[in-house]
Amino acid sequence: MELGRRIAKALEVATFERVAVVGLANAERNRPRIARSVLELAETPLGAGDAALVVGAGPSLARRRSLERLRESGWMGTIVAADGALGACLRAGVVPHVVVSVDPHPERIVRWFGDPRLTEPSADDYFRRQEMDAVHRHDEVGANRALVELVDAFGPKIKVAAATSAAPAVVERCEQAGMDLYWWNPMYDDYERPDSISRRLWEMNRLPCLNGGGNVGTAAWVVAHAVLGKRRVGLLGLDFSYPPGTPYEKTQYYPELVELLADRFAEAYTHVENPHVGETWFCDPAYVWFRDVFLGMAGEADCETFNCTEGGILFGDGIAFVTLDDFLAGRGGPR
Amino acid sequence: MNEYLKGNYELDAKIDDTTDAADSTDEFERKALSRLGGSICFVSKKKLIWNGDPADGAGKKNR
Repeated sequence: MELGRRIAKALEVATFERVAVVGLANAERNRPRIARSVLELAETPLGAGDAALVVGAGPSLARRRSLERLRESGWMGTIVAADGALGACLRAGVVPHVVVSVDPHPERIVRWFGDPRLTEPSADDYFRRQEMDAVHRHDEVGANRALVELVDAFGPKIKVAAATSAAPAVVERCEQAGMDLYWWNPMYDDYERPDSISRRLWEMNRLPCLNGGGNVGTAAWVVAHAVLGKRRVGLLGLDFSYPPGTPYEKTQYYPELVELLADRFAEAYTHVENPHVGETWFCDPAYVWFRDVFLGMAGEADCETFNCTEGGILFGDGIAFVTLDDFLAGRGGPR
Repeated sequence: MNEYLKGNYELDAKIDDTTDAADSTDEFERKALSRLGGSICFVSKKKLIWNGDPADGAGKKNR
């Protein structure tokens, strides 16, 4: 088995170690702010019909002009965005009905909502380095300032499906921008075990526990069909990979892979040929894990899932690979 | 450089530090792996939403 896949197999446990302690601490700190359950979103007017588009922050968004094409189409369905894609949506003139946020990181995630406190480039190069939202690379402070203005302007129209693990700074920023928050617990472990953390959390706040699949994009897909009840769910920007030619230094986990593997770091990347687009994309171990988990979940989901990214590595049983135009027109079916 | 760092004495005791080295490697890998993980857990359960058990008076929506 190649190195990237071997590492990917260890990430279920590693993720628990990364997020459980801080996520539970955040749940305690967020407790006084919790007023609504995410289940109330199902009773809230959002987009029309039984279709939803889930928007992630992958590079296909810019490559395929997906958001610009979505806006030009005048599509009326429900749009559920991962927090990392909020800026790209608003800059393209697409206002998502729901934004999902889950990562407990104390400083980084608030930047996806525009951080009013940022006055100089951050010592953390996370946003400058990677391709997730390229506008931050060229002028970090200016891009942040513009995003603050957009989120302030459109915040009152956007609902946030907030995990109790979300950093308090994110929660404060959303409230300040006039966003309504609807809460849920991340599922941390098997709720049927007597010593389950998920069960203890539910007993504390009585909020539903959602199985997030490792990342906020998959969590947004879960919200779209399992919470909102949408039957046709399209995916935009959920690439779980990097397009051909992307330098390794621009990938999300590059510093960590170099620290772990030194000069063997490149062996951790997995290359996947996508027969639908005739390209070979590559991914780091986390994305391999996200992909495998998503394919397993999609195969058993109570909805039809359509990959409209026109790129990436997310294809297989239970997922129809279609163009965005076909999905918006109601065409295509699972293959 | 090894010439300059070479000890000029002999120890009576034999030191076996292989266990400590293995432990520190495991610890390093564990910490490094935790930084490679995702932002939310995945639990191998069929239900995507769990909202308490019906016996708890909950279970309003379990999918």
